[in-house]
Amino acid sequence: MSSAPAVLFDGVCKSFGSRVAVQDVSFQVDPGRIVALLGPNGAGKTTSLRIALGLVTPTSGRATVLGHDFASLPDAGRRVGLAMDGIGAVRGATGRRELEIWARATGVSRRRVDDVLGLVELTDAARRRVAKYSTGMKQRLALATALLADPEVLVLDEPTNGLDPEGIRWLRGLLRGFADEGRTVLISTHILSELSQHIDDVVVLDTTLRFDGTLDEFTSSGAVSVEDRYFELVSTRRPEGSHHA
Amino acid sequence: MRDIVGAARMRALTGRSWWLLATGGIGVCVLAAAGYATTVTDLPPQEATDGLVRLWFTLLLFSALFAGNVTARDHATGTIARTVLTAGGRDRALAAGLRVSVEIGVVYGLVAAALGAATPWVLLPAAGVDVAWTDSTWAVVLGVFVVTAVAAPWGALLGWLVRSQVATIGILVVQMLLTDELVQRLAPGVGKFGLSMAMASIYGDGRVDLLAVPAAAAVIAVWLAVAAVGAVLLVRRRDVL
Repeated sequence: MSSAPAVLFDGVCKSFGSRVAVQDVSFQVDPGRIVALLGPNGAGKTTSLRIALGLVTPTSGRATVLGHDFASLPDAGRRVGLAMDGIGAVRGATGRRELEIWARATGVSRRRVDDVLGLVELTDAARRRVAKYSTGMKQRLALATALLADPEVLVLDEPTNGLDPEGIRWLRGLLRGFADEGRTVLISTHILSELSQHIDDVVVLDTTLRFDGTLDEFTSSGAVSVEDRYFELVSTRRPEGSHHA
Repeated sequence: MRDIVGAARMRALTGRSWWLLATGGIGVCVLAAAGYATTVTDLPPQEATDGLVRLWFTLLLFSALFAGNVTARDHATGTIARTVLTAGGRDRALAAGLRVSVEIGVVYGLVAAALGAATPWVLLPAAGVDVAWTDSTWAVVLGVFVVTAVAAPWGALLGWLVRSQVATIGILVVQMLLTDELVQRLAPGVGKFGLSMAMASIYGDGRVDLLAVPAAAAVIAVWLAVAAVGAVLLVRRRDVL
């Protein structure tokens, strides 16, 4: 394991044309922690994750993973696992084929494919085309893909979307075990109620950084609810013209 | 890099597009050859033989479409993000994709050359014409192989440049079937520098206003180099969204 921060953002800014997505964001994620990245829609959460993974180039500033720019991170495909909204399966692939493709890309054995299929309980559906999967099954397949190479850092974008309560509980246990082995989980999520049950640290983004600290600090040692604290920190946006009766 | 190329190869062969395009292309060539064979009785045997082999250049369109589709669909599904992630960077993802497109081209080229070479032996005797296999026939076989092989990296590079499945396929079809031919007819002095017309020189189309083979090969190399430089620059600059 590396002693460098698992993920580091240092003065990261990103604009798409005239729209500022992320402005001067600095925080770090330490190894062995589960960190929730919170913020409203359009707050720059997914953009930040994509910057860390070298998919989006920051306008200024720098993001590193395990002490390196992602592009220069040795063995990056094996060391970082990713499940992100908008990353679909290879068109026409079955569940097994999808995992075999990424196992090949990262030099992982086919036996491991069977292991992760079992882990996410998709063994029986492995021969079905991913296009026929339910949302929850697709989410579990994405998690299986992220876990395939047994990575040091797991980056998950809304991982509980589509999971049933049992699946959410299973995921919680999985992530806790993962972090307890000294590995790192960075999760972008909207589900505030989930936080207190498995998160160590909280980062709140709303274009700029609004909070960076432990869950205990976030809730002032339980004096404030997660939800109240969150809405104190972020601006609430309502579409123009919408009115409450 | 070997694993990344292996994964890119697996992605290319996943789904139905590879066999749909391969069988579709072969079917079109077989139909064209069968049609041509009904018109060969008045032709000199050598011309009939070369003509039947030459028809298999049609597979170059399918070679380009397959490679272009494989590249562009990664962008359409968002798979490109995982491709870049597992490759360890955009340049390596592009390099692996291009390597596989060359393999696709070589396979399509071998199929076109082999079936093209076999066609006269099947169809000409049935039409009562002798097969006249000469050095020029070998040149046509080689030309058909080369242009079909080269078409795949061209398609893949367009896929990286355009990043849209529909647009990539549309551009390839319009360019190869319409614009290159149209420019050649309206302004042959310019049209002969088009990719399809340069390819026509290579497989011995026989039109008088085309480039000589060495010049045509240079023109094809320039088209590919320009597309490759453009793809590299765009892959490095554009965000993977």
